[in-house]
Amino acid sequence: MVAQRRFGPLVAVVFAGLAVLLVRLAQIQIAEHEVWGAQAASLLRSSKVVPYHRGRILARDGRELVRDEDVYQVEFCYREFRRGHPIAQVAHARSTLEQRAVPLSEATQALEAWSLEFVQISPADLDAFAAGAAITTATCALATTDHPTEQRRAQRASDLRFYVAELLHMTGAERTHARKSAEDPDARVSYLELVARERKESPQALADSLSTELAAARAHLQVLAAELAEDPEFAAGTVGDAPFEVLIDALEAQRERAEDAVADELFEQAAGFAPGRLSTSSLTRLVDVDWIASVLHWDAARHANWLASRRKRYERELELLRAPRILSHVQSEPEGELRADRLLAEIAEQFRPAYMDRRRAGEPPPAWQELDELCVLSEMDSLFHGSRGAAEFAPAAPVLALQDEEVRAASPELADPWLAVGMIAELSDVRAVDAGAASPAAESAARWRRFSEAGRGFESPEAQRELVALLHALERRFVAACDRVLEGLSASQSSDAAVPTRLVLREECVARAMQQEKFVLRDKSNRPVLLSGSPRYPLVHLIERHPERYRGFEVRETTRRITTARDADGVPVAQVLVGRVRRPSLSDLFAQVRDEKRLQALQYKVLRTTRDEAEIGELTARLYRADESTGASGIEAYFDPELRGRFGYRESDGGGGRGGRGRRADDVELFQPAEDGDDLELTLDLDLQVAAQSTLSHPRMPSDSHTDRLWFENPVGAIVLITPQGEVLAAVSEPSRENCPPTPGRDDERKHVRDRALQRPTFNPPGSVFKPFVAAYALDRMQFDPATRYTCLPIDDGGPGYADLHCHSLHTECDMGRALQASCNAYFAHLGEVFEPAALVEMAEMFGFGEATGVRHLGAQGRIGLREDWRLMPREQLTKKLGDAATRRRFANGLGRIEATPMQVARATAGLLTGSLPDIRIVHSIGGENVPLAARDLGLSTASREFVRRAMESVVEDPGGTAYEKGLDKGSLGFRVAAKTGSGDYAAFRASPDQTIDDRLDMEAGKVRKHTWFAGWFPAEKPAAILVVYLHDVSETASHTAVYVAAQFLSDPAVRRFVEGASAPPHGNAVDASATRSGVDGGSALPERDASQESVAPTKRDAPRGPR
Amino acid sequence: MSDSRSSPFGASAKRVLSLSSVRWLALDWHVLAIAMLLLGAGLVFVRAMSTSDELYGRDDVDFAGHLKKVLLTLPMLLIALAVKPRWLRRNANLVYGVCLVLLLVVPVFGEYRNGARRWLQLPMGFDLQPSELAKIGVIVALARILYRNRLQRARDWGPPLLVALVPMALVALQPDLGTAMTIVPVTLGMLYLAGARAAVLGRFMLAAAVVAFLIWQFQFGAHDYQLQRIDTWLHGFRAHDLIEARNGPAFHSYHSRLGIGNGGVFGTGLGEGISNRGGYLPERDCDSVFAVVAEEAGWFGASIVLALYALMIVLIMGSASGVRDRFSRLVVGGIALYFSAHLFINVSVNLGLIPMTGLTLPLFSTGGSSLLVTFIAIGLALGLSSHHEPSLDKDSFRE
Repeated sequence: MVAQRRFGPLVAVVFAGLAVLLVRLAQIQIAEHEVWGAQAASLLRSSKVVPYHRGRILARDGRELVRDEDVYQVEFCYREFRRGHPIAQVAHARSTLEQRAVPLSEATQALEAWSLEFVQISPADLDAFAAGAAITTATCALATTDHPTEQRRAQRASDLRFYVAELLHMTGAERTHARKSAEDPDARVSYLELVARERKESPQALADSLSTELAAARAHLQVLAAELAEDPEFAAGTVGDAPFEVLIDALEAQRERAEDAVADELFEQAAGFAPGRLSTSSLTRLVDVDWIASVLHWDAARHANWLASRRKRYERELELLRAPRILSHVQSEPEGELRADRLLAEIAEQFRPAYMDRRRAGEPPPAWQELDELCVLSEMDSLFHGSRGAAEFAPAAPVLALQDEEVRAASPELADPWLAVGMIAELSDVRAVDAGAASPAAESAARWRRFSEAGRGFESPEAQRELVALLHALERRFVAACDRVLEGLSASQSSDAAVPTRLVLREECVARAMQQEKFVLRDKSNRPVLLSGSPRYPLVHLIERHPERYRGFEVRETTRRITTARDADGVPVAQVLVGRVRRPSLSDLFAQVRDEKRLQALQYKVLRTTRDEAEIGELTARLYRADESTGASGIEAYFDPELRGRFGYRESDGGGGRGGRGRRADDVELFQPAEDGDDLELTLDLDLQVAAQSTLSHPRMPSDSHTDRLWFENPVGAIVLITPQGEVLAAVSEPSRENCPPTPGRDDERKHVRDRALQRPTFNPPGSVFKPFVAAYALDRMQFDPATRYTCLPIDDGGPGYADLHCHSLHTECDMGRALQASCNAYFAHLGEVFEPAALVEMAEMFGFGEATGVRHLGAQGRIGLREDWRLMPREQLTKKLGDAATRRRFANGLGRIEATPMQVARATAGLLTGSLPDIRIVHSIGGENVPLAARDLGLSTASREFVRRAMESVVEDPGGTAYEKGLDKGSLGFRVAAKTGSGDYAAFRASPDQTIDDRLDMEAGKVRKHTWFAGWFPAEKPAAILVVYLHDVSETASHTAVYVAAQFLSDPAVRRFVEGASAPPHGNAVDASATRSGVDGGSALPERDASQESVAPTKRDAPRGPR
Repeated sequence: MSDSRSSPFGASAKRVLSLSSVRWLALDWHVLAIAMLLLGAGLVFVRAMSTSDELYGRDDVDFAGHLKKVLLTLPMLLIALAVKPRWLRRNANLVYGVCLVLLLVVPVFGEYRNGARRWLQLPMGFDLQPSELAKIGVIVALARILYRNRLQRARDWGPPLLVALVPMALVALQPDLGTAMTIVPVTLGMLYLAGARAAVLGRFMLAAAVVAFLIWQFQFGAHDYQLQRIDTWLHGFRAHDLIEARNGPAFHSYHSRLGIGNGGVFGTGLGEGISNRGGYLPERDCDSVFAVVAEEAGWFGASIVLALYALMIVLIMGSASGVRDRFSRLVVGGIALYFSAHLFINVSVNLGLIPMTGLTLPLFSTGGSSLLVTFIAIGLALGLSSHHEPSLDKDSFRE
């Protein structure tokens, strides 16, 4: 019984212990299950975003303009290469042995010899080496050491075992055998012999086989190098070099990059800040970081190279990464008033110790006024051995202007928050860093305010430059303060004041970094880098066919936006209008940080509901990816939501763990297919677009002695062609390619590729092409008698005209028809006086001036691209200005207060022609869904319109017309044209060194530079298209310039084909005007238009045409 | 009988072993059944590990090798069951001596693996870990000393403590602190069973705790890696902290806890756990086998395993308490303590209740020595409690 009593307590202890275990088990398995499950999921689940194809952009006949092309990229992962390729294995084994970064090129030379040396080492030798014994190979001898730990002997031996085993392709059993063999120190059987015995072959045969394999590995890499050399991108700057050397150098560069990144990370783990935060001098002379060199097997030269490059690298990072990131954060701040504080808070964040960052993703940083402790400086006390006295050397005054008490105190009281930024810039002496930076506080503040007020001003290069200057200025003081403290600490530890002592990081700091060593090594060298962005097929085939030969090289499938339609010059068709794509901006990416975190949380969630999975799909589809193409300008940008597809998502529950050989096929757990973006079928006619582009890019020099030769040599302008219903058939801007030299003596618009059809980058009066609208309005709304005659006589300064407005010719006296035909300015100046100011404004508005053309038919909310200039002065203000008769005279002539884009003129002309002002459409269908047309009835009487139409026909066909005998007659073109020419004064000639003689003569003659226009339709009797030609900055009037460009375009075979096709239009887009001539004189016998043309109401059109 | 008489080996074997004297009806079949159940479960889990390795191209776990070792060592259960209590008592010093010799031989002939010299290479690819055998040696030797020693005087404490400390020191020098530490609870438990007062043992334990604390605090008398394990344990009790430190020295603890936590209530299913599929968990067929069991069988399954294990221990203790022979009672009690120590230390390590140390979970873990000693221990526990052996002593367990 006594015995049982003794066992009783023990049994109780067992049960108590069991209870403890069960409770703890429940805590981990039940209470913490979510946490651990998520961790497990992160290790096991492998998710992949399935890319989509961005929608195609097609011409109206279905021909492709732009599409996504499936392409390959060759990527390179250094870690895979190091572990799997014999050349890297030999180089790294040698580096491990010699403790210097043996270059791949050197290893390539001695591949066979060195590898034989390694495999002839015995496992016992390596064990002894790990313990500190000497090791000797044919070309390398390492002495015995009493400090094996300091020399990292165990780690080096372990690495050597790995490389030897990989070189010999040792199996698990062979590795075990080798391990056991090491137990017998007397045996000293080499790896080569051990493996040969296991495989029952002679060591010599195995050595021969190894040599053969290494030679083959080198030969295979040479083949790869030859293929890579065919990629101009990869081979850039290496002309004449042997491809193999180029490849080896490129791989060596990747190795350096990876090792530098590892060294940076180890330093940061130990010190708490990046090595680049210190000056090169301090880092090199005053801080002992030899332990990093030891980890990476660096010799002194390589180590010195790393030390010397850190500060520069940090400064580059500041400019290329940190500054844009700061500006993006500021740009994303919705309230303009808070942007100044946000900017300073983001700047302050660059100097805050990392350990103080307690922010969640997406949260703004703390207020800049709370920046008390600075990184590096606040850490000195606990960083080095014996650095407790760091405070003694700490700067007495605030290091940064951000810490200036006066600025901090004043900042809440400032009326302009940007003044605080200006004060800090001034106190930091930004001018010392960048002479172009704004330094007086007020100037700097004004500049920052401008950035804030501009649409995306913080993303401009100017804002970037301003911020970089400020950051550098702050850094300059910060680094100087760090230098002073380090110098002081070093001197305090040195026995000889002249010789600085290198400060040694505390053991726990280094240990902290060393704990992460393996992870950091793996992480930093495991990141693939792009080797070839456009590999040829043989290269792709080579890598895909023989992955075992090319370990580290990987082919990745991706997409690329390509332009398929190009003109004869190789310029993409409608390049400016279509626009371009870009990677998502930093702002886009920052704006989705919270959603990304949410997606990550859902991905790692263990037990997911259907709703969770749906949310994963939704988030994946919606969130931008850094390598995605998004619209940056033009149609690509405006229709980005439609063109952009939805990413798919594939989540598999594969092994994902160690090994990898023979891994089973992954089990797909979750799959959501990608959805390609919608195709856009434009209204553009590809042939007409090409013809227009060719015309404008290569305008033929006319035989007219009064023409502007300079313009025809340096064309700048636009051609717009639309249907009477408002569909854009062609929209061309010139210049269409970058880097054209500016026109000598004129403005520099020739340098800029812009959309001049929808925008007016300069002052853009329509000139006389505005007159038909004035005339039509006067006839219709004001019952103006077209027979009314006005004089065009010499005025005070000698030339013909009326009052203060000159006319290009002396017309003496004419009626409205003649005035339109001859484009008499004096007549329309008279007419302008007849108009009430409000009537003039109403007339302009009626024809769509001062409003958007409708090309952005999906609205402006959340959409960029297809930017259009359409605004005029506000109605009240304009009416007030037109109270002045002189202003009205000019306005009626399309000068002064009226501006227009070619698209606006084309639209108004269509309205005049049809009586309905159409909304401009550039897209015919989106994803197969037709875009409805829309138009506004102008309420113009047929008689009024026909009067003007007849007058415009006479401009071309009657001897007095401004476009008469300019190649626009039916005999030349095969069809009749109705048009109006126009010239709008732009700027005075300026004497300049590069001014041409012609321009100087024009200047001396008192002429002005102008924009010239041609606006009309064709065929005149049955209009199929409205044409507007706009020439920028010319010296002569339209009848000597723009008409020739119009004639050149209209004589293009593509136009003729179009006209022939339009005689039986598939969409009925020609306006029957065959009877219009009958009403020229009578003015009343004009037939009514076809009922279908009366109002172009929104309609659904047929399904998209042409091949898909 | 004539055969045994004619063969010297047969005669000596009969002096040592006797199945005829086993009271089969008195044999604790429950213990045997539970042990076989746990062994079978262990085989199933090891098979699943091996299958996973095949699937993912690894060669960490060798089920065939494990099965071979089980089959080779399982007969030791029967042999140990047949050992005559009287012979064992009389030759306890011999058993202990052999164990000590083996421990002394290890530094000279032992195989060096993973930074320690713990194994002796035997024929047929069998590695013997003498430190495992030493545990049985200590139990038998302690039982022999405590057979007549009631620990009433201070000098009575010397011999048993010496018997425990010598092999502990030899094992600790290998170095194998985990195995050495298992001898502590076994010794203390046996001293308690022999009559030591709980208060005195409590003071021992307190003193040991103070020494351990001082070693950790002042960092002397222990290897760096051992001190680091304590640090890792102290800073890795909470899930968040352990996750933070997963890429450093807490790698093993992290993956162990990860596996267990991932199992949840019902487990992932056989071979479907992260431990098997990922292959990151070190020693998952040996010291960390419980993490795999807990992951794949879940809280319910792992609780059943623990309960069965505890039941087996309690049943062995029950058997021991019913044995009239004091020596046998102490040996069987010691074996129950041996299983308890392994169970609690192994599982506690995996659960992060104590610092990381390498110790097998008998009947589940692979490893020839562990299997050998486990079967010997079970055989002895069953045999000693069911042999026809007239007790020469009065029951003298003290309260």
